[in-house]
Amino acid sequence: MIYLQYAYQKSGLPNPARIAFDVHDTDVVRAEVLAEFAAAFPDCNVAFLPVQVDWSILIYRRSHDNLQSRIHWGRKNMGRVGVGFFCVDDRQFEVVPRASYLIWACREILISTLSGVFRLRFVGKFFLRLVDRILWLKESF
Amino acid sequence: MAERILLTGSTLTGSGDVLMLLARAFFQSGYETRIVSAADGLPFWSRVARDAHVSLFRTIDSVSFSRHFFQTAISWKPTIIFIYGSNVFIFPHILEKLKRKLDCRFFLWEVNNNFFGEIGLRSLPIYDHVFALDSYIPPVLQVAGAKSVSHLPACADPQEHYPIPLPNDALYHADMSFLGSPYPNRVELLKHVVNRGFSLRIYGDRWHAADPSLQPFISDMPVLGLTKSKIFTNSRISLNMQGPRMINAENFRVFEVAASAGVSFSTYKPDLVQCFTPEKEVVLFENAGDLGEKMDYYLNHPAELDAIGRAARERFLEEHTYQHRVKMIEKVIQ
Repeated sequence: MIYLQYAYQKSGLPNPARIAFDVHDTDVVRAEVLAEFAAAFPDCNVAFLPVQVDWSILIYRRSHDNLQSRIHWGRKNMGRVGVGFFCVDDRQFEVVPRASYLIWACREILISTLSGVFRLRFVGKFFLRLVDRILWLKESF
Repeated sequence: MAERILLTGSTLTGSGDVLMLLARAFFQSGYETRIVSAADGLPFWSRVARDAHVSLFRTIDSVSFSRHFFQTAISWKPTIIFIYGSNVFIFPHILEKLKRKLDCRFFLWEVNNNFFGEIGLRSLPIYDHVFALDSYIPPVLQVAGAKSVSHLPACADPQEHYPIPLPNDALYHADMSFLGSPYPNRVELLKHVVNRGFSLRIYGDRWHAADPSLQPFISDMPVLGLTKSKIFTNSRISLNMQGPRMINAENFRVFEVAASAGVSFSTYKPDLVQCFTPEKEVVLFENAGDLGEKMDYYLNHPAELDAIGRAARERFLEEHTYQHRVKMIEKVIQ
């Protein structure tokens, strides 16, 4: 519970009044997530998409995660105030206000692309060589 | 003027909710608090470095996070900086610079016994005081350069961890449950539990790669805050085996089980028996055979199990909440 409250407060927005979920999983996961949100935000009305609400929240599993479809989902189901993405396995809740959605999406794409490039072996090797060369130059002077 | 405490540490699920619960306990004791998470809301380059999963980029991560932490501290002006977990991210020269600029005090609650890295070791002389989860560690930390060290055991929060009895929901019912990572000793012990015919539920990450005989008992359910309390309350026994880094220490799980009025069956650790009385508030076992015999006995005497659960919760409420730990920290701060 406290994690959800913390993650929400971090966004700088007041506690949600109405939220709706999109849960692509079993009834057990759906029930667990609902209970957790209801305990964290007891004054909040909870529903399931599609309904027009302040916040729409996508509940997803790590194994089904795909940034592109997440961004697309967020754009399509944007609530009046914003969207949230809750990865149940990692217990990571990200709250994105409507006003900064585009910036958030661009940042996520950039991070994903850059980290993908750095994961490539030859880039890692190039980087190691660069660090070696810098250290060698440093020693030479 | 009230103290302003800037807390930092991980908010990842593996670290529990300790950082946030500690911040709440400080807040409820009249302190202004703020969290800088080392797991979310990270600066751009930290995110890139972590998502790349390449060890080479760890330095980039540390540089980026240290800078982010420095800027937050400079703008918020805390009087106390409290690091939870282990300092593996913030460079010592950044801590020194903050000390000079803000004239604030530094505290560390070392819970992972992970201070032998370059950052961890070089930071030790900077802290005004180090709290150690493991009672074995204070003399070691002092030799390594810490000015002052004391033991601070784990705890739980009655607002977050409490009994949730669900007599009609079979989903959480089992003779024994285990929540944690699949270390080899745990796998061996759980295989023994299964072989003796007890019902078992296993929760946690990476279990699908563990022994095939345990696969039918692994729950795919995500373990959120409330779920934990439901598991601990409704399972007859919660198994507790400490992680490989613990020497004397006890982890937070056993306190959360007690808070949920559950019963822990645990291997011995000196810090455990300081916090809970064996056979009255917790049941100790020596090996797999002993565990099996004790499970047989207690599962046939459910009233005794209930009494242990109630006694453990009473002890927790009297001595082991976050408020109690904040009082222990206050004695040092003041």
